[in-house]
Amino acid sequence: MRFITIAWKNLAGRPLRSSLTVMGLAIAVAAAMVLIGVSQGFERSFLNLYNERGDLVVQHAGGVMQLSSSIDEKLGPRIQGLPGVRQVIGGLADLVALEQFDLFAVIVNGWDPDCPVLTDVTIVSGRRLRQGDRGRVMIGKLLADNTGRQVGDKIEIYAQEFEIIGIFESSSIYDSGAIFMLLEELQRLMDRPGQVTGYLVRATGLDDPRAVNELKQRIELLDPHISAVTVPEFVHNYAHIRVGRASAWIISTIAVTLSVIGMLNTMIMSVLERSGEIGTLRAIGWRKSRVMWLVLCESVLLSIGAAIVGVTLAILGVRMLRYWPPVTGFVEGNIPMSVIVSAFMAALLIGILGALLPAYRAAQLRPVEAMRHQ
Amino acid sequence: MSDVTATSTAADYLVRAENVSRMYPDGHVTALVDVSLAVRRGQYTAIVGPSGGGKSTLLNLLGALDVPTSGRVLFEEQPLSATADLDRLRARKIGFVFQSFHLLPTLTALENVQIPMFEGPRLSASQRASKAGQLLVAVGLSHRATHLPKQMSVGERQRTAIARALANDPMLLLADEPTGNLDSQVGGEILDLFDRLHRDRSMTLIVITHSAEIARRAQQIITLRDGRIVSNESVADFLSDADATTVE
Ligand SMILES: Nc1ncnc2c1ncn2[C@@H]1O[C@H](COP(=O)(O)OP(=O)(O)O)[C@@H](O)[C@H]1O
Ligand SMILES: [Mg+2]
Repeated sequence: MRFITIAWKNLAGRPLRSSLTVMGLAIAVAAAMVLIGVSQGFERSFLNLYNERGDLVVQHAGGVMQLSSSIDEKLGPRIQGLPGVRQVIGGLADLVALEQFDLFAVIVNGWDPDCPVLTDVTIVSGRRLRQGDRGRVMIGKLLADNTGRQVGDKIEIYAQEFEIIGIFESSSIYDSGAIFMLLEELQRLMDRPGQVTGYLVRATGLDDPRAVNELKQRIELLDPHISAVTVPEFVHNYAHIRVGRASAWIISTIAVTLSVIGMLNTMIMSVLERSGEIGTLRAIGWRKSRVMWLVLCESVLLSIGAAIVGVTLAILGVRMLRYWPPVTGFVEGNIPMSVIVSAFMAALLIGILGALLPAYRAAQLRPVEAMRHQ
Repeated sequence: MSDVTATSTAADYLVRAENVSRMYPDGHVTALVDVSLAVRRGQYTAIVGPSGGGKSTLLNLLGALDVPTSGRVLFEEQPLSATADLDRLRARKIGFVFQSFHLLPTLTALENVQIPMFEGPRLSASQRASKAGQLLVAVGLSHRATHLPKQMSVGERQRTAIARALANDPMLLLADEPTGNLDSQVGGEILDLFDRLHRDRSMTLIVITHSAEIARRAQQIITLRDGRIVSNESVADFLSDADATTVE
């Protein structure tokens, strides 16, 4: 018999308590993973989307909510005229609710008809928007799937009926869940004539930070009310992402703390309940350290079990979230490996932290007394 | 040879108590008062006396499970108070058998027997298992190796506990009312086992008992009452069992 067998059989001999402890910890681990995984996935896919289209983001200076930022659309051609600038994409963005489909945060983008975003997406059915397409929209494939809408169907946005003239596919999950319409029309609907939310600027020669800063300054000199930031800076500081990240970490910290307390409780109970057995082990010569190892091993075994169950739950959970309408378009179907590894480490840490005090208590039991009171 | 008993030297003593008292502060109980005794190597000692007389307290002191309030206990003529690692002493030189067995309920007989081996001489997992198997054969339980304590009779449980006590080849076996939970027939079988250990392995035995039958098998009978030794009878080795003094 190996030492670990004793720990294992102690757990297996109390299946209800062991499995409840594993489940409790697993759910905490899974919840933390889903939250952190979703917030990181959100950030990453956002970054990919922007990276594909530009190097710098130009928006209203001091804006917190980027969606409500407004810049004059006449600024676009002036940025385009700066040295090194290859492409400038200006667009208006909004979030709308499609209540009849239980979708509460669908992105609506307004683009110029010749905008690269419009011309680059792959049309799955129907056609692309073109000049003069009033009352018409293109929708992403994921949104089409989630709403069951097809080309020729109507969709209600801003209390108006729009005809779907095309369904497109995009590598970005944001685009796949979005509605595209002409910029002019969205400006009218949002009552922001001549305005865009911001610009994405693609430029050459941005290989070193000095060149990046130089271009930023040149752009900012065009208008005192605008600011230019790199795409990673923009995404990292995007208000929704920051709030998401912060809540994910706060909730995860709470979950982990509760798990440590839960583990502490389980192990204390199990030590007290077995004080006679532990007293016997000490009486027949087990050292204090060996008794502590036993308690620690049991707790770590529970943690490993919880990590395995928790990671499985989290992977399944995130896959299912992808098809949950309220978050459709915002959630990637994968949890990064780094999050899975962190979850294992966190579970082990919970196991060790939760067992320290119980292990100490077990080692302090005086054999004669412990056996007498059994 | 016949005068060994008469001229015992200090080196012959395995364990001794010198003017030992033990007071339990919580209940202001003085469980032992000024108790002195000596147990020779290979001797079979019985401790008898009424309940509450201090028998378990004395056994715990002799087994390095507890420390006296005053006086001292010597193991192989070494004071326990000067012994750095009492856990190691208990693990390697002393075997314990308890009235209510104290087996681990989640482990099989074979596994329970291996428990002390983790503190004994280094053995591999398979060496531990085969040694435990041999011990179970020695106590007549090889057919119960894979049974859990709850699947065994009380007699079988006590045999398992005895095999466990022998795991690290101790020189001293301490038993606190080992037959107290057994009927007389099963109890008799356990006593026969003790006799064999005493005879075949020259094991030193100290056994607490209420049973006159055990006491009859012993070579030294110590009677405790109210924490004091009220009699200490030595039965010479050459006397046959039938001639030994019967107590109680
Ligand atoms: N741990 C303890 N704390 C307080 N009192 C104890 C403790 N152990 C034993 N006693 C008391 O000491 C006395 C002797 O007990 P014990 O050695 O168990 O006697 P015996 O084994 O002969 O029945 C009893 O009065 C008992 O209540
Ligand atoms: Mg007793």
